[in-house]
Amino acid sequence: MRTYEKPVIQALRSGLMNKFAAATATQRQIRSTIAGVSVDDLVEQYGSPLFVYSERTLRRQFRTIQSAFATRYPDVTFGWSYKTNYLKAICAIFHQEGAMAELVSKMEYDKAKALGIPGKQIILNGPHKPFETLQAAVQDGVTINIDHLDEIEDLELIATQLDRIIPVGLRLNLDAGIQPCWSRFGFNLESGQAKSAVQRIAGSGKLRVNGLHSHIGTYILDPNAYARQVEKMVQFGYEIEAQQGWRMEYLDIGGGFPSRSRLKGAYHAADVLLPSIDEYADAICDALWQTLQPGHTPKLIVESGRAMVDEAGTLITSVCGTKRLPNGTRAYVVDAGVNLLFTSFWYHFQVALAQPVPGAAEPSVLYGPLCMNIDVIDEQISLPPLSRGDRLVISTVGAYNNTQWLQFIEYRPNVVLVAESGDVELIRAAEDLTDLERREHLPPRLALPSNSNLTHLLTQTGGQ
Amino acid sequence: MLDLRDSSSRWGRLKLTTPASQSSNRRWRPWKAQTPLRLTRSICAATAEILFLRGAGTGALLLTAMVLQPGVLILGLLGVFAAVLFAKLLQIDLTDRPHNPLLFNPLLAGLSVGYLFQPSIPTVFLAAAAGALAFLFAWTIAHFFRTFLWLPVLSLPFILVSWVIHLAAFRYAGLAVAILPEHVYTIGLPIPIEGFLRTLGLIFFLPNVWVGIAVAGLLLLNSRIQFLLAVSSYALGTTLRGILTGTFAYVYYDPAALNFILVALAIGGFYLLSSPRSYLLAAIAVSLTALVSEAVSVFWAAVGLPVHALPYNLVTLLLLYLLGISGSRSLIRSPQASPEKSLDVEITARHRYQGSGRAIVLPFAGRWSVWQGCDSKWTHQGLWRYAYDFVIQDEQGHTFRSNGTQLTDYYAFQKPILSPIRGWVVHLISDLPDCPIGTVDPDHNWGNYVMLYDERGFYIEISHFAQHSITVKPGDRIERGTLLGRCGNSGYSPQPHIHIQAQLTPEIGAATVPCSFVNLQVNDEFCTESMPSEHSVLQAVISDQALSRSLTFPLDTQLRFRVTRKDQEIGTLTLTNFMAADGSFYFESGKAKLFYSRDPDQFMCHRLDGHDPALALLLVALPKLPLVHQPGYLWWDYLPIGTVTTGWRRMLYQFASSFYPQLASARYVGQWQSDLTLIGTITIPGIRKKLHTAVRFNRAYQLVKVSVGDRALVSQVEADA
Repeated sequence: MRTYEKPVIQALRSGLMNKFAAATATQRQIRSTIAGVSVDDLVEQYGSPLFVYSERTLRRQFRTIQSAFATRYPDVTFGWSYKTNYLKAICAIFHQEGAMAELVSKMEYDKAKALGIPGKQIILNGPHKPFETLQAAVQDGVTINIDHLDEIEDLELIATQLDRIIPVGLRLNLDAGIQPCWSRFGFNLESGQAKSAVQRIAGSGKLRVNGLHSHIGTYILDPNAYARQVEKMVQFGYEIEAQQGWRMEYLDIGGGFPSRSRLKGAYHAADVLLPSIDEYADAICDALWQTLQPGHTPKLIVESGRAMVDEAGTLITSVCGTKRLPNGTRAYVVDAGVNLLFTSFWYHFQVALAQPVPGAAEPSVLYGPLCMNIDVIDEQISLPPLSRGDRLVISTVGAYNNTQWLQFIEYRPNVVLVAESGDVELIRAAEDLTDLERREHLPPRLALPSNSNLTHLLTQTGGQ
Repeated sequence: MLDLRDSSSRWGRLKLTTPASQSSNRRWRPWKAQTPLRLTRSICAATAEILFLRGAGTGALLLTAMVLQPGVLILGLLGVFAAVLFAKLLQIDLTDRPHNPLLFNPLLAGLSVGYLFQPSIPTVFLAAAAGALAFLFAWTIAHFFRTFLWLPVLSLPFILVSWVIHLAAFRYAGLAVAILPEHVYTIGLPIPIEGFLRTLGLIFFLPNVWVGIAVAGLLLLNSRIQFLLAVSSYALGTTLRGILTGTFAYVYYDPAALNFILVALAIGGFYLLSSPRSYLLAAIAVSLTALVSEAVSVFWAAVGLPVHALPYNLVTLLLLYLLGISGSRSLIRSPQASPEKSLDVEITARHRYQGSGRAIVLPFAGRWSVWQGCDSKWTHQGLWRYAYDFVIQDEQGHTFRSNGTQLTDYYAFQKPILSPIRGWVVHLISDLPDCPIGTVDPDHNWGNYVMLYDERGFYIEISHFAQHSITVKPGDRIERGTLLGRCGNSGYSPQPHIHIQAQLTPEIGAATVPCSFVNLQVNDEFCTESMPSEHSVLQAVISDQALSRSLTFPLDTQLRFRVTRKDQEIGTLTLTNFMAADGSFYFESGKAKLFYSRDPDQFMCHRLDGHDPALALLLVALPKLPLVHQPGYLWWDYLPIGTVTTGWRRMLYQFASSFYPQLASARYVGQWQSDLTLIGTITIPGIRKKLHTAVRFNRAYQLVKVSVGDRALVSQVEADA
């Protein structure tokens, strides 16, 4: 017996093919398991929406990227960029794999310390480092990369207090031949600002520059941009050495490697568009071997975030309503929107069905649950007719979403980790009202009377 | 002499001034104040050495015993002084050598003169001449033996001189034969025991039972093994002689019996590591000595010469020569004050220094696997058995991605090859093509290669570079980690890989010698040195430069500590860093010296010379520190059992270790507990309780606190909060 299918009238459209010959998909991918665990079981136990991380993918991705660099250059360390995803379990997995913690704020510093990361395993970047955090970091032996002149002054004060010379790194911004050219972090190289900063540091004699840091941007698609960055950094490092005698002990090239997510507006699939990690490693390490003096191999620090974690994260969402828009377009309301998927503003996610759904696919809109017009996950996605309760599996969502998600209108849901053994572990429990109200204070004078009092009050009012 | 005041000379312009400071007058000091003291000490020490004992105190006691025969003693000392003065005339200082056959042979020669003749003007000359001659013999024989035979001289020079004196004395009518003083030949003990004691005394020309008791006491005090060796060898030797000669009437009165004792002491525990094997060898040597001494006495008596210690010298030297030539592992490299201490030091040293002696770093970055190790079934065989091939494998064990038909599919292809050593590039080939997968180049087995010279005196050959990828040229000076080129598939290579071997000559294809890798992870386990087996996964561990720098001490650096026990101060310790004449470094505390080394891979405390319990804490807490800084990595080392035990327990362990060598060392396991604290656990065999050590550094890696059990050295440098 066949399932009844509602008849639909579908407009015949031509011109859907674009110039790269990619037509709108008429078939949706089916993804009924995540890391070997059935989507239905996951939802049954942990509800919907639900973030699911795969430990196997996390470790495999780390090892792949790590090996790409480590087999090309003898001293490579990875700094796990906390801002990309600072769920404790995720950080712990990367630390187990040998990554340092790359932190950019007091909150992240506190988080890393609470996780038990020793100072030697911490890199502190970021434009806002409160004085107390800097003080603690110096005492803790943290690798500190200075962002601006005021930080130099703060560190000099700390050096005076401790009566010792503090080794510091300098953040640089430079022209690596790509657009946009990030210029807001650190000291500009080409204008001579960085050189002045070094002279300023040398002048006071309180600090010693032992490393350089530069982060040229995000989602960089040209590996040669890194080669140019490395050349400029090494050259500047040797200039510092020639002038001040400070040897460059580490080179921190930031992050910015893309993940296998498709940017909005990109026609090609990620696999076609993106250089492989080996190409990045080749460009960076070849540039190092060409520019470094023989026998000098400063530590190379890579702060890749997105490329490490994005693919390991998946979001399960369920249809909670179906509708047809006035122009005839089919639309669905799902229980996860931009509140959970901050990256939907620039990514075109892969959306798979958790179960086969019969019927012809038609262009549809996926709306999130927020009562806001901007809450759209996909404006034109080809879907078969879905019903309430049908599940969608959205990937790759491991980067930035669990740090930038909003507590707005909705509660934030459960996050689970599928361990390498196949066990499912809750790594962040869904929020409830207490999470929201724990920090709030209602002045007593504004306290509303309880329900019975309220009725009484209303009755009294009515009597007048 | 040039007259500097000669105004006709251009030199006349020089202005001469009287020296202002006294220090410039100190240049000529022919006789230093400490020389007589040093001479006395050296002579005493040399006296003790006659019986394989050590220490000036022991020697002084023996010399004091000789006062029983003042004439003998005086002529003996005369012999030494004559030798010392004679040496001085030859501009050789005899007192600055630690173990000194050049001193005890003249002493014995002088003593033997005194033993034969009464003191008189002619005997004074004779003793002096005997001393000088003994020095000449000792010097010559020592040089010959050491250079060509790798043997000690023992008392051979004395025996030669003694014969010379005896033979010459046949014509010297002006000498009065010595009157033997009234020695105590017996105190009523059983005859064999008194015979033994007299023989012990006779070694110092004093056949006196009381002297024998004193010497036996010294032996027992110094070493239980030595004492037992002396007793049993005497028993064995005399019994054999008694049985062979058919009577025990004379054996306990024969002076030649001292050979049994000396040969057993030499073979049983001084030159050989004490063990059941050495004891058996000593027994055989005693039996042979019995035979030789009988033969020698028959022959020599005919010409009127004494046997002295000739049989002992003959048998010991023959045996040592054979053992040396056959490369016996029983031979002790540097004999200590007693067999017990030799066991302790030697067995521990064998545990501690196990490497190949050619330790290099891995020639690549990242995780690689050993595809072919030493003595393998493919090509690493025969003369070329000490070689390694490395490839990169993925988690499935494949060395390539996709289907592996292209060179570029292979993970190893074009990966950097780094110099494993510091040295020079000797020669290389770089223009051979990379063989496509499925083919090899049998005409150029080694492919593109680089031959490196390591400045420690060996060569490293690395093969199968990618075509034109080599970035160094012959004559280049290279550091560890210098990029040499890229991994390729040139030569006889079925897939891209790195081949590496060590050799003693620079020819391509020369025979290989063992080499090992330092500071690496083998199958994710940290090793300070390894000769990895096939299929092991290796990864270099980067050394911590800051740690390395902080453990480099300029000469005269002083480290000051408070010594505490249960946090109560019990003293202070000030260490000064010095360099010894052989280039090794040591910390001197005034009472002892702690020898240490720091190479690019590790800091190691080698040995403690002298007695200083406070300085010993440093050795116990920091026997070895690989210069890497990864919490969780473990490393092993061994400590001589004498450094962690005391009293009866030490005596028992050291004695028993001749039967159970594992009792000679305590095992140390070290690791970084946190960023700045490294902890160690010391396990003493047979004792369940462990000894815990900790070494705390500050951020600048200066030593802050060294603790062993409840004792600690607390530095005066500033600790971090």
